[in-house]
Amino acid sequence: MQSIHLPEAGERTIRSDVEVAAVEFSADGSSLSGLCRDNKIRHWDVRSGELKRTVVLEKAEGGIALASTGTIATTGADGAITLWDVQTGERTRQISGAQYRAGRVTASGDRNLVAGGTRSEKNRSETIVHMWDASGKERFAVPSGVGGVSAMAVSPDGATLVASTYDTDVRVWSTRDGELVKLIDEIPVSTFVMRFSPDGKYLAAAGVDKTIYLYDAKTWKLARKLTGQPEMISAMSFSPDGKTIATGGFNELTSKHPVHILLWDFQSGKVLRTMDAPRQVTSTAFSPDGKFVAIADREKVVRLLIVGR
Amino acid sequence: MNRKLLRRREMIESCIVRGLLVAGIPMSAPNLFALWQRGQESAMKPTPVEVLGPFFKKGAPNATNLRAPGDPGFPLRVSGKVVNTRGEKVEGARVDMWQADHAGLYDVKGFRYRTKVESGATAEYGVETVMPGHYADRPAQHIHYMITAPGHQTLITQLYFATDPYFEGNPDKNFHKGGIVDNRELVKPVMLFEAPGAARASVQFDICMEPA
Repeated sequence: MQSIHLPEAGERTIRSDVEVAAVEFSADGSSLSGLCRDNKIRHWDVRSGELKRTVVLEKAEGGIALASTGTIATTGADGAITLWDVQTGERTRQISGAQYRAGRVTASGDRNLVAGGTRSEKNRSETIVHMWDASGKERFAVPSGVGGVSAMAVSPDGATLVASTYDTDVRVWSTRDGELVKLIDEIPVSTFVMRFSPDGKYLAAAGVDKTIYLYDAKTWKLARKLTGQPEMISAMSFSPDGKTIATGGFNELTSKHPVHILLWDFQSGKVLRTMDAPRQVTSTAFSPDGKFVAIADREKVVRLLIVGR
Repeated sequence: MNRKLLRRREMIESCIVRGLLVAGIPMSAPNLFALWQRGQESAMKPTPVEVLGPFFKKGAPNATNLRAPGDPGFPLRVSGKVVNTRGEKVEGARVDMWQADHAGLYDVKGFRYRTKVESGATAEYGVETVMPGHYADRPAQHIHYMITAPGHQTLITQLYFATDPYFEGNPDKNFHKGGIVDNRELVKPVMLFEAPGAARASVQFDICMEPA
């Protein structure tokens, strides 16, 4: 891994032409990729902050979102799901999907399993979560409450799928057969982001409640709650070693700005650092060596912070 | 549509339920049939579905008055009846309603401006609240609804207001502005009542559910 030098202040600001919906570092940590609202991927050099290249997703439909590390998903109105490589912008998989547009898509780390949430065929208000296997065949389609999927994730070992819906419930399924392992109904308000810890032992869920709910991914009991974010949480990520969590806030409703970026010590639950962000934080990402965290917000700014400890 | 044979009495009942016919008025068979058909056309249409949004909260209390003493919001009464696409009254429907306060803020900690009322034997509901405020992300004033009833599909929708300045005085033309509202029929007229000491707004929002 190459060494990266940043200014003394430990912060670099990259300005994007277009709002950045999600950020991700390249595997070697040298570049930062921004998934932008114009369906283009902008790659910046981490050391200089310069825009190196812009990759266009050819004929991409709908908005772009990260489905798993290195993989973008786009969705068509006919239900089709397309996976793209973040670095090259090439199509890597195409799934015919269900008959309706998938509101959220997630994929296993090896891209073999792809899950998406759609409305049910009978009732627009009801939500169905589908999972497709490596051949593109639907493995299962299971009812998942009402109101649409708000967040979704596959465990690092690929065995478990979780989805939260806007009716505030979180469901846990086996990816093997769609068996409902657990219905979590104790989070009182909507969840906006869910992340498994890198070792797969915990699921972190956060959203309107300004709280990180940490679930034991074996028993599915609530292990701990981390509180301290002053506003709703719209972005969250674990450091690669699992020791640090970065969160970003969202406070559009009260027009109270700035919002905040928090770094948490996972073990103690203490807040290590608090920084301001001008408006809703859309995405946070750690570099592969854990030394940097990138934060994108709705002011078209990506900030790079030194966080290594 | 269910092509079963209807008896005269069922037709009359169905028309009365929809407010097309006052009970007791004698009517010839063709006239009754025409009236019933008109009712079928309108009754077949379920209330359009809208997004649930991020601020739903389970467990709201069954409260018909959401206004607090000295509430700075403009008093509003929202009421209506709950029917289904067959034109039948839906008794025992549970109507979850949640909205922002007059300043455009949702209570996510507690249950201010949140309720879950039941349509009783009359299949009607009514809530005393305030006009919801405007907020940046969805600047049209709205009240969220989730309606459940035995034997019916869950319905998620929203109520909008024709007087909302967001529609620039012309909801027919501007209801779809900003892509917030998909259906003109969810933008309802607002009636103003003057009461001693205070004016009050009133909106009728009837709900039509689909049988499961």
